[in-house]
Amino acid sequence: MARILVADDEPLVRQTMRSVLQRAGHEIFEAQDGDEALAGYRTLDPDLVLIDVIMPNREGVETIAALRKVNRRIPIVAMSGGGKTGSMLFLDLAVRMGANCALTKPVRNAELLQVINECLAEARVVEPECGEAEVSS
Amino acid sequence: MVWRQERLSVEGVDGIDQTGRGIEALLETLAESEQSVKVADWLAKLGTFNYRPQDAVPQCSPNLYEFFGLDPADPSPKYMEALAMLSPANQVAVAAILTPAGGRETFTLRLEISRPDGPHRICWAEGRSEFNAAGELIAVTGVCQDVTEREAVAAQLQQAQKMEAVGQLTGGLAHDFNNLLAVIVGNLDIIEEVLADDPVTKEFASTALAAALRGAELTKQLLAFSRRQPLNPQQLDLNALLAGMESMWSRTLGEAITLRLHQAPDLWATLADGSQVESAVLNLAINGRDAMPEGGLLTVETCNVQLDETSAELGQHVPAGDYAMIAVSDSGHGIPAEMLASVFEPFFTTKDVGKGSGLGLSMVYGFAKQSGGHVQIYSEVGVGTTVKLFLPRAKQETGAAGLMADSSPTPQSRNETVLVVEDNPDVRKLAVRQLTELGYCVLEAETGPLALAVLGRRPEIDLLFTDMVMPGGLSGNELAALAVKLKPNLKVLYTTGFAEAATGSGSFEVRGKLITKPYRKSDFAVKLREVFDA
Repeated sequence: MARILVADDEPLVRQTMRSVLQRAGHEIFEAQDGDEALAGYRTLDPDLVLIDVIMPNREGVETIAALRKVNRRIPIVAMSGGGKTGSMLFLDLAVRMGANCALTKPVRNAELLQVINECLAEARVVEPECGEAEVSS
Repeated sequence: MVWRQERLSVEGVDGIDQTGRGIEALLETLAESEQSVKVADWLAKLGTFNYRPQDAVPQCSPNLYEFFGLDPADPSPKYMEALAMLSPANQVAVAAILTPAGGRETFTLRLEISRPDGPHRICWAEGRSEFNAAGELIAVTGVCQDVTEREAVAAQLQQAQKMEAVGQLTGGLAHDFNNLLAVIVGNLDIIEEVLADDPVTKEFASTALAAALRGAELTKQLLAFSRRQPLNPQQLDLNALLAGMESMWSRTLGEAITLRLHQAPDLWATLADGSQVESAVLNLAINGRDAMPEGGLLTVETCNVQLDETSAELGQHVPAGDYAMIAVSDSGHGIPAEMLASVFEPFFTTKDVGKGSGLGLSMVYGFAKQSGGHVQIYSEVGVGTTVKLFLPRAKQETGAAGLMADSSPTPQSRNETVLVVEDNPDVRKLAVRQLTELGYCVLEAETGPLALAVLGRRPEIDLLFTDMVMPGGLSGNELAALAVKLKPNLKVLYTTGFAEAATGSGSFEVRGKLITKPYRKSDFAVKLREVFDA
C-alpha cells in the first residue's frame, strides 16, 4: 500500500484514478492543479505523485520540475490526453524534467497499476534522502 | 489610340514654336507614355472595354481579347461566342448591366470564362453603365483583370490555413476526448473485474470497453494529423523497414493485387519514427488496395530526392534539401482533380460510407509534417494514384555525396528550342522558367492538340517536353507519336507526377526518357542534355 497524490484538473479523471488505485489498496489524495499538488506534497508526504501535464495555475511540467528540485527520489508518473498546446509533446518534456515515466490517456488499469508498482518498487530499493529541502511555490 | 499631328493645336502651347518642332517631342513623350501604359496593362493582365449602343462592336484592348481566346486582328471577332463562354450566372449579370436603369451604375463582377481551347480563366471586371434621363443605355466602360493565377495561389494559401485550423481543432478535441475515454476505460476495466463471476453481464462491459478503445485509436489518429503525437525519431533505413514489412504485404493486399518493390540501393538514411513510417506505408497500401477492387498493381518505390527552391514550389512549401522518399502507387480508378485538394483533411474519404474513417491520409500528412518532411499526392482518373512521402535525410549523412552533386556545373542550352506541354498552369510556368534560366528558347502549350498546332507552325522546335497524362484527348505517348511524324528528328522528354516505378506498363508505359516531378533545375538540365546528346 502506498500514499498516492493524484493531480488532474478533470474531476472525473481524479475520481476514476481514485477508484482504480484504491481497489489496488493505495491511499489516495487529490489535487486539482499544480499549486494544490505542491501544497499537497508538503503536507501529505505522499509516496508517489500521478500528475497530468496540462493543468491550470501551474502546468504539470513546471510542477514536476519544482517537485524534483526538492525531492530527487519521489516517483512521479506524468500523464496526458494530448492535443491542447501540444501536451503529448509535453510528455517528453515531463520525463526530461524528472518524471519517472509518462502515460498517454486513456490508459488501461492493468498498465497504470503495473507502472505505479514498478516506480514504487524502484523507489523502495533506494534509501530515502535525509533533510529534503522545502518546496518553493 | 493614334494621335494625328494635324489634330494638335500649336497655338498657345508652351514650348512649341510656330514651326511645330516641339510637336514631335510632344508626340514622342505621348508615345512613350502610351507604351508604358500598355506594358503596365500587360503585366497586370488588365484589359479595358467601352461599349456604346450606336457602335457596331465594343471597343476592347488586346488583353481582353486574349482572356476570351479571341484574335484582336480578326476583322469580325465572335463577341456572342465570347459571351457564351461565361457561366450562366455571369451571363445574367452582364445582361443586368445593359438593362435600362437610370443615372450611372457602377458594377463589379467576377467572371468565370470557360474557353473551349484552353483552361478555365477567372477575371474581375469593374466598370460603369451610363443611362440617359429616359433610362436608355449611353455607354458601358470599365476594366477587366485576369486573376486566375492569383486566385489559385490564394486558394492554396487558404487550404494551408484550413489544414492548420483543422489541426488545432482536432488536437483540442482529441485532448478532451482522451480525458473522457480515460474515465470510461478506467471504470469499465473495474466493472469487468467486478463481474468476473458473471460472464453474461461482463460481456456487456467488454463490448463497451472495446468501443472505448476503438475511440482511443481514433483520437490517436487525430493527434497524428494535428502533429501532436509523441514521436521517437531515429536514424532509419527505409529499405530495411520495407523488408521488415514483407509478411504484411500478402496479408493486407490479397491475391488479386501484384506487389512490385523498387528500392534504391544507395538510399539515404532518414530521421523518423520507424513505427509511424510503417503505419503510414500500411495506410497508403490499404488505400491503394481499396482503389483496385478488381485487382491491379501496387508499386512501392524508394529513392533519394534533392529539392531546390524551384522544385520545392511544386511540392507546396517543402523546404529545399535532401529527402529519402517512399512512393506508393496503385493502378486503380484515380481521384478526380476537384477532390485532390481535400484528401488530407480529416474525415474526408473517397471510399464508400463505412469503409474508411477518412483519417488515414490525414495521419500520414500530420506525421510527415511533424517529421520535417512532406507528403504529395498525384492522381489521374482511370490511371491511378501515387502518394509520395518525403522524409528528411539524416543530418550526419549529408556529407560528400551532396556536395559532389552540387559542385558539378549545370549543363546549359546550346540554343535549342523546347516545347513544354503541361495542363497544370503552375507546373507549366515553373518548367518554362527553369528552361529559360537554362538558356533554352521556350514555347508552351496546355494540351496535346494545341501542342501539335504549335509544332506545325514552329519548325525550330528541337525537343518536346510533355506531361504523360493530360486532358484534351491525347496522352503524352500519343502526342509524341504524332509529333515525331510531323518532325522525325524531334527529341522527346516525358514528365509525370507518378512514381517512376509505377510507369512501366500498359498505356502508361513511358517510351523514352522520363523525369518525375518534383525535380531540381540541375537534374532537369542534366536530363535534357542526356536526351539531346543521345
